[in-house]
Amino acid sequence: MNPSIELRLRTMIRAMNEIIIPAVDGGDSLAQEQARLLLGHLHVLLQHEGREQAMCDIERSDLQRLASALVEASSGGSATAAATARVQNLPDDVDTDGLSHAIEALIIDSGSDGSEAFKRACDTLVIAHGRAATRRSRTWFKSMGFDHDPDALGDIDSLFRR
Amino acid sequence: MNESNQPLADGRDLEPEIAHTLNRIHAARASGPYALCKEDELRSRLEPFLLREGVRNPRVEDLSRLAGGASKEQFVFTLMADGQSPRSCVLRLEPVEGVAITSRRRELEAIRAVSDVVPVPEVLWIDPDGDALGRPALITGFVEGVTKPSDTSSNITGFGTVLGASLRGQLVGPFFDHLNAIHAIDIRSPDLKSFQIPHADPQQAARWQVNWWTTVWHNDALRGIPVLGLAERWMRDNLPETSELVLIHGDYRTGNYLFDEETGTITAILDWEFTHVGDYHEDLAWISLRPWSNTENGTLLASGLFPYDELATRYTAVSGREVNLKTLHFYQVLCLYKCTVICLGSGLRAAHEAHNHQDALMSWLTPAGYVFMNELIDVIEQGAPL
Repeated sequence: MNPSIELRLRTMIRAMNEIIIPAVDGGDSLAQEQARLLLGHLHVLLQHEGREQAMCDIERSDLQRLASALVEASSGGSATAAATARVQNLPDDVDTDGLSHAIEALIIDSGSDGSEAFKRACDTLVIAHGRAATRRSRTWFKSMGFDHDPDALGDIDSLFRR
Repeated sequence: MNESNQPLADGRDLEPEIAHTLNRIHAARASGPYALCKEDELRSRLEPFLLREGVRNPRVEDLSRLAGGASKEQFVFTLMADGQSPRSCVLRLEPVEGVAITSRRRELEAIRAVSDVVPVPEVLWIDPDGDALGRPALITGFVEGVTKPSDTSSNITGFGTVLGASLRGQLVGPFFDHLNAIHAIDIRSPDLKSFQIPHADPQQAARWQVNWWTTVWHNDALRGIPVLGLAERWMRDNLPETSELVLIHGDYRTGNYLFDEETGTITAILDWEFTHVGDYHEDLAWISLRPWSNTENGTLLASGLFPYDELATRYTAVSGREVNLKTLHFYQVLCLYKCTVICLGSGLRAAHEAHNHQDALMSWLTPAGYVFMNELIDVIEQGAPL
């Protein structure tokens, strides 16, 4: 039987707490800070363990929906048409990086000659997508402590409830 | 002051010195992992460098690394030299990439230009291209003080710092006085020869900033972000005209000044690497961002110092300049875009390329970008930030 990733992360956390961090030179403030940082990363990884692919899948499917909606709404001049065609012509198996860059380029290029109707539709679609994506990522990383309103966010489990 | 402000050859209208720095970073992209600067090696380079700079028989003692410094390697040391008292110094060394890569020469010029009117660390020596020390570096005198009350902690310096009523009362007046003094600097001073003035047309100051940070984003982004595309389009559609050009600090907020906890005196204004000539609303917008503000009894305290609603009246009272809320709104969008780019673009790219001495910190800081992006959506959609 293989030790699970969860178990291995827990053992690493214990080693950091009980052996490594106490042994770090007290006069080396950077090493101390980095050791505590690694401990923090390990705790967050433990929360994410087994769920990262599901997060990636949600991100990708949301981007695909946004791309389809933008293509459907698109109208304007040659720059907008060309950027729309680049989104439309992406291969089915394009990676999320390529998909997201093509979407962003379409939004930017619509500024040069997109119709006013398309720009309005684009604003609505992108803001709705951005709110959902940002909330999801803030929730995913809530335990890192950056958010000024963490209580307004759910827990990580809530991201995967349908 | 370099008066050249013509658009670049590729059509982007960008401050030439900034374009040069961005091109330097981009050219270094293919280099291998960044090697942490070893203290023994640094010492062996420092002493010959200081000798060449005119220090008599320099000896570097108690050289040690400082924690923090998300964009630079930081060291402190005591400089011993013939005929001089021991001197505490701070050395900041630039990695290949980080949350922000900027120009040490501009940082030096900015600090020296304001040194007569605001408290700053004394700039002692510079190695602008890293010829002597291995990487571009700036050496300053050490200044006593703290960036936050010593009994508090924060994730990023300045994020949600709670100062308490007493300290706020002591710090807020000098905070605005120093800002006004920076904005009153003669931008055509020969001390600022690496800085160019955006005066080709009234929108050039705003356009230079948009082009600076969108170029950083497009150079660094590992993945596209639709909201940043929307923000870029919005900024280009809403460029404000600038009525008065001033020297902009570029990162003016709680967390970027040192103060004496006992007296409540600001002992040094720090972090001059984003300094440029621009619209005074830009510094005001930066001060007002929510991530380094906090709420007390239902009142939002901008930069943890004063009620947000008092921003315009306090600035006008010290400077005589009117605050245009529409221009302030534009710069709030720009500042939030910039913060998002720093976290989700530059920091993540530095970690991805192993181009920083603190890759683990770079990847830790990346998610802070989602907090800025959330605010960015609010500001674009609602037309007002808070």
